[in-house]
Order: sequence, then structure tokens, then C-alpha cells
Amino acid sequence: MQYVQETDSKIIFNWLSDRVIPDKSNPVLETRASAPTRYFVSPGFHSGLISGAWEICSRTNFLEAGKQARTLLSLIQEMVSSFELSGFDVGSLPSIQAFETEDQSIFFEWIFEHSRVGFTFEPNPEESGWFLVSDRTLGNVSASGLLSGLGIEKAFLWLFNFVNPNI
Amino acid sequence: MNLFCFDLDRETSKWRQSINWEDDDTVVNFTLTQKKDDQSFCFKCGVARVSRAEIERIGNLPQVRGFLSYNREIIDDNPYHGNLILEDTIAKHIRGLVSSALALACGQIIYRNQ
Repeated sequence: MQYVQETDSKIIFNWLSDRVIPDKSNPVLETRASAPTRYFVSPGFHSGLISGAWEICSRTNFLEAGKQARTLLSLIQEMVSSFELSGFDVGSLPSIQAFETEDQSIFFEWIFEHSRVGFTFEPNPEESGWFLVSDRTLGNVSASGLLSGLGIEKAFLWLFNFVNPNI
Repeated sequence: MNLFCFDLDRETSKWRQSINWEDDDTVVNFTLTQKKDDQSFCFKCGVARVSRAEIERIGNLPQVRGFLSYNREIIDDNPYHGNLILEDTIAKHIRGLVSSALALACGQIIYRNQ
């Protein structure tokens, strides 16, 4: 999946690869090489974004929840690295906090100054979900939903587009 | 870890978070000095203060309405004790939403060293 970012709002959109963005610049001196790929470049500024949560999800005994959680963490790291490599305006992102609950779930919480994003991973994937809350500064927003159906990539991008412009 | 991790009450099957009601200006110090049986402090880091107005606002959120309540439950030597209660039928991600909303609504965190 490719992305583009609108510079004023900082909103990031999925971009279908067959679309072409016209480039009217004509550089006089230019050296071209292969486009950088996120798979072969160092993790970058946000390399600690998922490491703590990954540690917990790797050693959990909650196998199904752990598998879902690691899938999301991998996706998050890949997406954020892609945003950085593309030169997007990405604020200083806090590390994702993870912990196990007594009903065999894994809970992620991403804590910002005026909002919190969360994911819950359940033994039954149909019950895994996400939520967003904000304080009065950002309008006392509350939103939530299930990950099944929407998909974790869309859910994460939607949530990221709320928190990133407000960091 | 989120401060507001509700525990499952296996007798009632409801989720409970112990609190102390701030009836007067002695409750903060009372809470900070509460000790366990082994004489270690119950709350090593400090206490978090959340207004009842915020608890009720969170309880009235569309996803939460009807699931969040609170009570007073005097126990042992603690006349201020109570609980935030979540119904067992609440969806799990909404329980997470409530925990995070409460944490975000903390008006003040009083650390032990202050």
C-alpha cells in the first residue's frame, strides 16, 4: 500500500499505485537510483515505537490474542516507517503500551497528551476492537468499533489521522 | 499500565475498580498512607483524582450508557471505600475505552514524594 499526505491537515491517504502525480519540476543536475524501500533502510526515528509491546506479545501465553497483536504491531511499524521514508510530517509518537488482562486478552494503549487510542485483542478475533477517547481540548471525542470487517490497516490509519495532526 | 484496570468480581461477574470517595480533605493523605497486611503501602506511586462529574460524563457516553455505575462500600477501617462498576455484558473494547477515558480524565495525580 502506498500513501500520500495532505500537507496542511497532515491527513494521510491510501494511494492506489496506478495513479500518477504530475511532476513539473525539471532538475538540472540529478542522480537517480532505486527508490528507497522500507525493508532495507534502518528503522528510523520511531524504532522504539513497538518494541516494548512486541516483547510482551512475544512471550504471552494468550496465543490467539498475541498473534493478532503482533500482526498489528508489525503493520504499525511498517506504516510509520513508510510515512517517515516518504518525508511525511509525523509528530513525536509515544511508544505503544501493552499488557495482558485477566480474561486472556491483550490490551494496547497509545497515550497522547489529549487523547488515547486503544486496541483489545481477544481469544475470539470477532470480539477484538479499537477505541479512541479525547479530552475536552480535542472535543471529548469517543469512538469505538470492532476490528473484524473494517480491517486493522484502515482502523489504524483512521485513528492515526486523528492523533497525528493533534500531537 | 493503565491505572484503571477493572478487576473481575467472580461473585457478581461484574468488573470493579476500587476507589476512595474524597468526602473531605483528609482522604488524600488517608489513601496515601493505607497499608497492606505486610505493612507496605497500598499505593506506592501516589493517587489519582477524578471528579464525579467526569465519571458521570464518561458513563453517559453513547457506548457506555447503562454499563458504568459506582457505589460506596465501607470495608474494614476505610469509611471512604467504594467502587466503579462495569456490567459484565459490556463489550471488551468498550471496557478498555472506559479505562482510558478515566485515565485521561484524571484532574490531578498526587505522587508520594510530593
